[in-house]
Amino acid sequence: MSYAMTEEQELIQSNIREFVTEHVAPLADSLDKNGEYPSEAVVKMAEQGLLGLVVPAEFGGLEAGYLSFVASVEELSRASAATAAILVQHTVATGCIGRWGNAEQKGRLLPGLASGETLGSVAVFENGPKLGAGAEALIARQHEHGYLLKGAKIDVGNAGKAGIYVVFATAEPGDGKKLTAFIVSAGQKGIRVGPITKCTGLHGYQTADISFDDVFVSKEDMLGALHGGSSIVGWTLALAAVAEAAETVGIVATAVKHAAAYSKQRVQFGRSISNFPAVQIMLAGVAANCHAARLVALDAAALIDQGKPFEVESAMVKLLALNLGQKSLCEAVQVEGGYGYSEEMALARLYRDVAGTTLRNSPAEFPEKLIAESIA
Amino acid sequence: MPKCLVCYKWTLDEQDIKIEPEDLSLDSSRAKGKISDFDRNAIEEAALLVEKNGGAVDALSYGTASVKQSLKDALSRGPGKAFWIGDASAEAADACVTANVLAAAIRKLGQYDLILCGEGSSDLYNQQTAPRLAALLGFPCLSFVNKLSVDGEVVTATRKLEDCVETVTVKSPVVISVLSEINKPRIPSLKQVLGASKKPNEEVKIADLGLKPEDLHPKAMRKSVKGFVMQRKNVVYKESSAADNIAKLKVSLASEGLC
Repeated sequence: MSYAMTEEQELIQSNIREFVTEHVAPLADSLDKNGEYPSEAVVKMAEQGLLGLVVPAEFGGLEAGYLSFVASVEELSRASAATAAILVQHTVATGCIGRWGNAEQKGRLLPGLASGETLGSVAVFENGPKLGAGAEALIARQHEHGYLLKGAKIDVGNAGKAGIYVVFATAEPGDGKKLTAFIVSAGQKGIRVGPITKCTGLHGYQTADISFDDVFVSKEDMLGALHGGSSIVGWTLALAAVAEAAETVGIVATAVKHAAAYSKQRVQFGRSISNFPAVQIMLAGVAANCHAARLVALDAAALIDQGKPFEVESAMVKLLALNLGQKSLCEAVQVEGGYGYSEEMALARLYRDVAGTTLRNSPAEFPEKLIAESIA
Repeated sequence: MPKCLVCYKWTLDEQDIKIEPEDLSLDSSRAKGKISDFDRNAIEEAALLVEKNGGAVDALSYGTASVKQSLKDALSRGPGKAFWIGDASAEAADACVTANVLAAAIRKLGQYDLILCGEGSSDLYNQQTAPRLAALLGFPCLSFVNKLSVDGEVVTATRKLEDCVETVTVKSPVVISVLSEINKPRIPSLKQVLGASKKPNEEVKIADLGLKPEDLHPKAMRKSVKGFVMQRKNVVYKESSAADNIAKLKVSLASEGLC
């Protein structure tokens, strides 16, 4: 094991639980129904300090680390995974700049990201078989004093709301595999955010495709080294996987609690169905798997805080979350029977949300390939 | 500028307490601690007064060894320093013992203008700490307070009583117990949560308070605690028409004075 929560981390977790009860849970249902971006909740998250959780104190952040971040994501997701997803997307971008940015970039960008003045996002995926390979692959051509970005990114979170995008492009000269990361301001000429994608779940968390039409980025906005983007994208996806697993855990924790409460109220054959072994087996299985996934997610987060490699552990978290998420929601709905399937009950939203937390950001070769190759 | 002391209790979170269906005993083995709800209002009110008038807020708590777990939580909510008395005597302490210990500690800590408490604790809700404390210290006591202001030495409070609302003024020092409606306790920011560990706290040893053994001997001994479970009546009306069922339901509710 790599972690044991400190008193401060437990305080952060209970503080966020209180925050969620007050400011996030009351919005969750209406957010799901109207799908509007939860501006008010994001402002509250910024005031609470959540947007600067992983930012070093010298840049205005709390420097509370990734374990605190992942625990907070679970707490938020217990009420609204869509709100948590906004934080995750922002923090992954912030984490990239904190981890790979130079002193000038950190000093210029991190204070605004930590305070919430600027929202962050990461643009990774493209419409081709792999990064840099499709017709619309994002290519960075050398230009006087910098690069011109041309192409498109798909499924970009916080699209239209972010002020800063961490963008991965194939930089020329290159062989198509060598990625370079750039920090791109949302206001740059040539950026066009497409229509917001209508998704099954996570309503209110905006994703869209973004096209880049000769968008100029200076050399000062290159994140890390030229052709050094592959390791950054690996780190980015691994961090996102851990955080999204925490989203899944939060959703499942709420679902199993809801199903257990229902089972105590629902009477069949003269006694509540919570006494039936078939129901107990379903609830127990979900609760146990949820607990295991939580521990693995927090463990991976602790590795990040310790500066240790965490990509394989992150892949394991992703795999566990994939297995946990939709199966658990099916089980929870089963416990509630026909009522559970109704949009009137909370489980319907959770069922749709867990599809978002488990299926997005899932390249075909991840996570099984990474895990299998790591077995010595 | 008032110098305030808030007395708070570290209680078990009632949401985590399970009632065993067989004998209605309470299982608190998995219950976490929390600052008693009304005491949060007291802390918030002291913080608001100091934000408005200047001055300082300290916090004081008497409990078992677990009270130490409360310090960062309490300090994140406004107080600049926390004093704590962790002693096994708190396990069986009644309101009398609690007041004896707190009063002795306050005498030792020095002069405070306002001593604030919650109206009652989340667990026992005896509503006795503030009046007993005031009596022991020889200070006036204002209970059931839902509005509070300070102007120099003059403290003005609105008290919500059973059949009226009265506004009173007293000269400090004074002991005040507040109702939950006096304010809405803020949720500390994460910066305040993390900053709490940098604030000072000090243990006050019960042995240093000059208390006699009888001061720590509870006058009321709790013999048992049982949970309360609302029992459903499980009455089912099986008349052939809905109108008859409703009529029967109406009669039943009327017989219990519910309509």
